[in-house]
Amino acid sequence: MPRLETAATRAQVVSRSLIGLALALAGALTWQGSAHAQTHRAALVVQHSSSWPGSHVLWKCVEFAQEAIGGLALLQLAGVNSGQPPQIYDWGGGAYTVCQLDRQPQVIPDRCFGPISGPNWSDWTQTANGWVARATGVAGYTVRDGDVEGWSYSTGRGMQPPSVSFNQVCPAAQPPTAAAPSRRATPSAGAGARATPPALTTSIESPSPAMEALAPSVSPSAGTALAATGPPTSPPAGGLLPWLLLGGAAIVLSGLGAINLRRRGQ
Amino acid sequence: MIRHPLAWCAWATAALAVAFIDRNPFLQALLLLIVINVFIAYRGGHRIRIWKIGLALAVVPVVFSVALSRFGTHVLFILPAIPIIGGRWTLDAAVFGASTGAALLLTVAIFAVVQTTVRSSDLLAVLPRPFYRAGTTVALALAFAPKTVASLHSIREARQLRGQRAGWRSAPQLLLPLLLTTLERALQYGESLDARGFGSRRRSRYRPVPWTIPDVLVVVGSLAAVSAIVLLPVQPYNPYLNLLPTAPSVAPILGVLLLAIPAVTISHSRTDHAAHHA
Amino acid sequence: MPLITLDGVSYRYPQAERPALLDVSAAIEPGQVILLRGASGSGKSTLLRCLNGLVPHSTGGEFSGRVIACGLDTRTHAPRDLGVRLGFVFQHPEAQFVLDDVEAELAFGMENLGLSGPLMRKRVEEVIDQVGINHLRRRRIDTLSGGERQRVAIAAALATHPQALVLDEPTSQLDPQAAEDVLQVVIRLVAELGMTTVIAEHRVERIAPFVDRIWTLDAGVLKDQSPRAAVAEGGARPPVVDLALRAGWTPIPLGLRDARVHAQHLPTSTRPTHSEGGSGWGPATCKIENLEYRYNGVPAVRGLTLTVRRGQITALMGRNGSGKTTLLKVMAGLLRPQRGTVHADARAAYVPQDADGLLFSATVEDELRGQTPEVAAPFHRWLHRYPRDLSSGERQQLAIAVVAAEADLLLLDEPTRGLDPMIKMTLSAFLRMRADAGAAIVIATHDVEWAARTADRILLMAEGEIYADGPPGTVLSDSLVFATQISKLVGGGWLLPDEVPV
Repeated sequence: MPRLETAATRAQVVSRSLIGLALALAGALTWQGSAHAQTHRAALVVQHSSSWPGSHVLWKCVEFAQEAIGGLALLQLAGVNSGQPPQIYDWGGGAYTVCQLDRQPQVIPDRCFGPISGPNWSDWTQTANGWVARATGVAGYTVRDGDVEGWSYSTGRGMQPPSVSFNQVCPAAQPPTAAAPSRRATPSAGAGARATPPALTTSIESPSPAMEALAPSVSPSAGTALAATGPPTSPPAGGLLPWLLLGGAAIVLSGLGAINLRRRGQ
Repeated sequence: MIRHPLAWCAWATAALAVAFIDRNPFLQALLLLIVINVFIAYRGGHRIRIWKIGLALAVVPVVFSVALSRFGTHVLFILPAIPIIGGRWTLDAAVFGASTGAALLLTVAIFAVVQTTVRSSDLLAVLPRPFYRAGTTVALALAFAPKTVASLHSIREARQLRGQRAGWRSAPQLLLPLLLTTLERALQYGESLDARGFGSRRRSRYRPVPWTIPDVLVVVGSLAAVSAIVLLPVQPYNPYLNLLPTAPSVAPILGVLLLAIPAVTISHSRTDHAAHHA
Repeated sequence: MPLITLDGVSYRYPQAERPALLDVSAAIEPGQVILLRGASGSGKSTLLRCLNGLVPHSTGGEFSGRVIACGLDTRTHAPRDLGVRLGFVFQHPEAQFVLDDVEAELAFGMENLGLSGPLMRKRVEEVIDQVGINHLRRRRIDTLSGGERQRVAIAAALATHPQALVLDEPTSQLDPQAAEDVLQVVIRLVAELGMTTVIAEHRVERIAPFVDRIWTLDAGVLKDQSPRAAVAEGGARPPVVDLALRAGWTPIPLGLRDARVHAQHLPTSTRPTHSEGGSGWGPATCKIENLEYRYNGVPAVRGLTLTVRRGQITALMGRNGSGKTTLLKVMAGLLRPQRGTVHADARAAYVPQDADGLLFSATVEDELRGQTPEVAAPFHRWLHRYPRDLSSGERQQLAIAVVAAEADLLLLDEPTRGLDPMIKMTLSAFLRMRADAGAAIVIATHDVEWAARTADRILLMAEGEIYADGPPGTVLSDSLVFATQISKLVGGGWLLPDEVPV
């Protein structure tokens, strides 16, 4: 007797989980669609060391669609590493620290970071009282519209980046970007966040040609952690095909499961 | 109908590899759907409890992650400065926990399938001779676990009947009878093995399971699935960097779909398992 | 030449005070069927384990004398060499299987012998037919019931073509229908194959007609008798034998068939309908109204109304799955009624089928601490023993005593399973004492003879409902399934041998 009953319960459980799965899929898709409403901007300042052969200071105005993005996403969207993900170190628990930007240092020290006193990259954010050092690692904070973020390569506890205002980097007169229609078609490009087109990027000094050619080496763990944002140079994955495949497979499998359940339930 | 135990081992290994290597939620969901399908197609007795355990396991990482991790950009709410749990609770952390939980749920589900489909006698039969005794021991140990849980239940119930409330403090008193029951059972198994001539030097095999075309298909499919995940570039998923997952590329999807072969190749004559419903 | 010879066998378990076997000498000829009986703890299992060398090889202890089984001396040969010559079936259905499906299990012993594949296949088919388990061959062991497991165990033992079959109380853990199925297999093997068989079994009345000798063990001492001589002795005789002794029938019948010839000459009589029960009982202690309980939606008990009174012993009977255990658990407060009301104004105690978990102290004395002297009295011999060392019957008895003494609503689930007849009678007396002291007692049981002797009121259950309710004389006398041996033999509403007029 109880056998029949368990079969029914099992059927319920499976059908419930299938429905749940379908709802989750639908929810995720609609959410993704709605996340592209508005464009936000943040200013980024990168200060290399004085011995650096290229341009010492870089300004970038970064546009992004989301309400807020992570510090690392900001760097990537800015394309500060010739479009490659910056070299980072995983401290565990989601705490990442950047240890190489634009091929500085040229040789990555042991465990990425080298001696704590030695020259390192430090990250900063500009408040009403000037620059304040970030203490959480690059994944531990978010950047919102109007924020000014800075990176500097220096020894010891770090040197503040040069003072700059948001409007210097992101002039107010900038018209909204025209690239909006392409966003939905490239879901892999960091969930709709997008680097400003080159025309909008302001640099005080252009990067040296030698630096452009240098692709930073990426440690495996760092690579895995970062690739989700999608290196801007790689083509957007798949387009519609993966979604069609996923949806089709889900429908076929649900049908198959339902048939088998009914057959076995008898 | 997949019978060969090594085919199932290949399938389970491939499924586990996929579950842990690629954390893309869409791929995980697809894999879960496939594993559930295979389970439905082959299920023997009623094993609803194992799914409950799986779901419970899957919730744990979500809770831990969301309560303890402060990373992420999508703040759900901010708790006052309570030690450990105070601070920003982020959606990213919840999603990160969910993806870990999904991998755990998948593990339980895959083992549920193997437990239903692989008969220890078949597995023993394909073991090389030197491993036979060890294999038998493992088979017995596996048979032991559910029985031990069952005796724990009956002992707890019995103690409740004598007025001892269940609680942490009574654990040692629970353990002693449990240990004794288990020991008694072990002795009985030992006697039974002895009485049935176990351990003699000669040894032959009754009805070795032959490799069939579906079995080979499953092995090939499993290999292809793992290759698709391991060899082709994947886009790993990290909610802290990007909350919304992107679609996995086509190759991993096709690879994971290959793991559905056992569910598809089941023939509906099914004499073997239909008998369970007698 | 005898197949098995025991020659002056004495054995003492490690650290035991007294020997389990004392100078046992006996012989079994090929084709003979031996019934081994004796009270719980009298050494039956020990003696059977001597036959294939498990004693002393796997138990240790002091062993003297000699056992020659199938030409092998157990002192020089390991149990695994003897195992294939003597098929062994254990008491517990759960713990004797190694693999997880029936056919593999049947082949396991032969694999250990190194037999060829085709030969194994042939023998598997043969034993499947001999034991009649073709419908089970593709099942997994864990889906089998206890009775089915025991039949598979017998088939597995037969598959190696043993020269003799040894069964250690194969039915003591089974309900009566399953026990009957298993015994029928044994009887068929004995009758059709002439299998040499040694069986320990409490249901003497069922198996005695097919037996050549009855061995009786008492505290390690063996008495070897003819069946008729053996059944006439001892305090726990089959009901038919009791009646035969009272009526002076000779020779003493061993079963119902032998007895029918004599029963024809009994004076025809009908049992007077006593004014049993009625208002003679104490106040109600547990009132159930419209109780409904479902497991996952399947009703186990439905629309049940019942009042239990103090001083009354109620037996709850019915096939497996008819809701007996559920009802007991609801009364005990272990399950919450899903519909209806349960009103109890008494301290309830429930003893489950497997009562081992109830015992957890270091000595019997500790278990009995705080009990009244009359409760503790039957256990005075074991006071310093470790409860788990007692035989299963003794443990059951102790668990019931320990739990029952504290309660005035006593709920027992199959308390006589595995008990020998003497202990069953002690249990009857104990329950009567508790009832007279004002306790209400409800027992779920399959044991018709014992219920007829013990209960004041019989409830028959089916499909979660009570379909018959009344004193044993009324309910059991016109039942076909729940009929005692005497009511089958004599009719007329008589239930017990001592009440039939001769």
